Amino acid sequence: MLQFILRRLLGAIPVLLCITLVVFLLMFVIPGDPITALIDPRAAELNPDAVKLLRAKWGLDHPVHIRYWKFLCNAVRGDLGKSYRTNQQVLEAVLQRVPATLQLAAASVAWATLVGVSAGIISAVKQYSVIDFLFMLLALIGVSMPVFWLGLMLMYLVGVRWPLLPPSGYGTWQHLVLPSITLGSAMTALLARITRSAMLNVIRLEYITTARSKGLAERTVVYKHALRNALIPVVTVIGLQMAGLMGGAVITESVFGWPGVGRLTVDAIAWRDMPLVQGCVLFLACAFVVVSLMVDVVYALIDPRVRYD
Amino acid sequence: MSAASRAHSAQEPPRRASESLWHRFRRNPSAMAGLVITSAFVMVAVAAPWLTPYHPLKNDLSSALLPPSPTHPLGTDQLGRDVLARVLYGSRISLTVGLVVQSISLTVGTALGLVAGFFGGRVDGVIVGLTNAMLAFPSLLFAIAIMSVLGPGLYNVFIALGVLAWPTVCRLVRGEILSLKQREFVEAARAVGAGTLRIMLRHLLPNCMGPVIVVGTLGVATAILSEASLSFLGLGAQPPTPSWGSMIGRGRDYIFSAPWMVVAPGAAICLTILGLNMLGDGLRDVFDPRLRT
Repeated sequence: MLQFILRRLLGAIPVLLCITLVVFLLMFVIPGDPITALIDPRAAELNPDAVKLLRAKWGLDHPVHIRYWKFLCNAVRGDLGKSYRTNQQVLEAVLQRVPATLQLAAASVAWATLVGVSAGIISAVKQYSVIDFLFMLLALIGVSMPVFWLGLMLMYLVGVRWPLLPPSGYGTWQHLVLPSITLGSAMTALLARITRSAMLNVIRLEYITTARSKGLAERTVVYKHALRNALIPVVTVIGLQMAGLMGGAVITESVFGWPGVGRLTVDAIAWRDMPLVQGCVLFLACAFVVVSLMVDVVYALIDPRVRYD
Repeated sequence: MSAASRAHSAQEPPRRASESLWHRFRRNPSAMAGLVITSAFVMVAVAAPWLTPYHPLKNDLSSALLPPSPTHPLGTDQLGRDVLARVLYGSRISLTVGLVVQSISLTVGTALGLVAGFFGGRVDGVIVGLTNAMLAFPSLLFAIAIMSVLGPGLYNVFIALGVLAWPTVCRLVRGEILSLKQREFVEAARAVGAGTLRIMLRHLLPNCMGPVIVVGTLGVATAILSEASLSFLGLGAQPPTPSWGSMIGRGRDYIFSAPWMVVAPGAAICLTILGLNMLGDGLRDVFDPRLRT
């Protein structure tokens, strides 16, 4: 098991390297550099020496590969450079925002799992009923709805039209409700569909017939026998979706003004704050890799048929 | 596509096979609904100028932020432009994005998948490695990163989304080819003297088109949704282009005073994606009933 985890960790390194390299190299295609974004061009024209000094200070005058190598070496030591804009350590700036993003992601996953899996089970048990049809229609709409639109609609309807919850901001649990519903909606819909089809596949198997024929209660059959086996694809999807939440978080956070890493990413892009963008993307990518790894481990734990080699 | 249905369609003359596909498709209500919605979307995109008397870019500050009324059925935006006109014209942007991005991803993905699956070995290793690396990263985030570098704009959206979409196609085609190339008809083709290129393009490629069409249809939906997200963040289509995503992005500032600016384009996105998803799911049921989710 340990070996399996180690091997997966090693396998993640090239992926992360690729990502850092791509993010790093792509930054060079930007017309102009952070200096031009930071300083009024007229002022820069008047004082070229100051511009040169700033370039040297941030290492912008070195060749590309040396800058990348420096970036990597520093990153390994936890030094992601300083934000061009606030002069704050990037790692510190990103870590400050992590709790908010984790909170949002955890709340979204929790309620998406609860609602999505329950709806999927009910749909499967009552296949072709009105409730099944309704749930699956809702799920289809949920998959098709743009996150940001749902967020704005909730904000308008529940936050302003009928003021039940605060439309934006951060702090209490009430603030968490709308953003987490927004971020979790697509996942809920997908989980409902996956759970339903997984349950339907399992329910047709012979061991379920056996369980029924030996007189077990329907509840025991559904929850103890069928659900446990149907959960395997569901766990995979939860894992993959959790990773996908990182992208959704960027949008949800910027809709609701949620002070997480996602919003920081968008802000950093707007400011052309290169080290900060790299830090954010690197963090989100690491989170993605760690979550995928955890999914693999959980997968192996709940399904004895999966081997570690 | 299951082995049985594949063998089935391979034995029958092609015309009858396609007829039975159409027959199965027609009996699937959600697939038909998807087809109707998608066709309506395409028709609106083509016929936009004839469906509204207003021009999507024409400002009229004297009638800014008007609520829905008989003259402006969906109201007007902060510059007095007719929201309905902008939504109708916006379908052109979405359709273009969907088609261009999918053309890129299907071309690149199919070509690489075909090569990887057919030749195997080191070529396969490199392509699979690249595919896995691309798929190992949350795509919207990657798109945001690429857009932040290329700079905002519709053409850059094409590039970013096209670059991101091909690995799914590639993986699928490769898998199909791996199993197809072991089959007897390939051996038969080779026995009668068909060259490598001919086998790849005339024998293998047409046989894996079913799943590719399904993924392509669902991919159009993903592309449209991604463009909307990027435009919403201000990284995609730039004003005054009437893109649904950027309309919502602008309307967001007026959500409390003029919610119609956000409702209409969002509903349009929703309906379009819903139609494409239903169509894609329906096609999947038709091509391979086993894959139903």
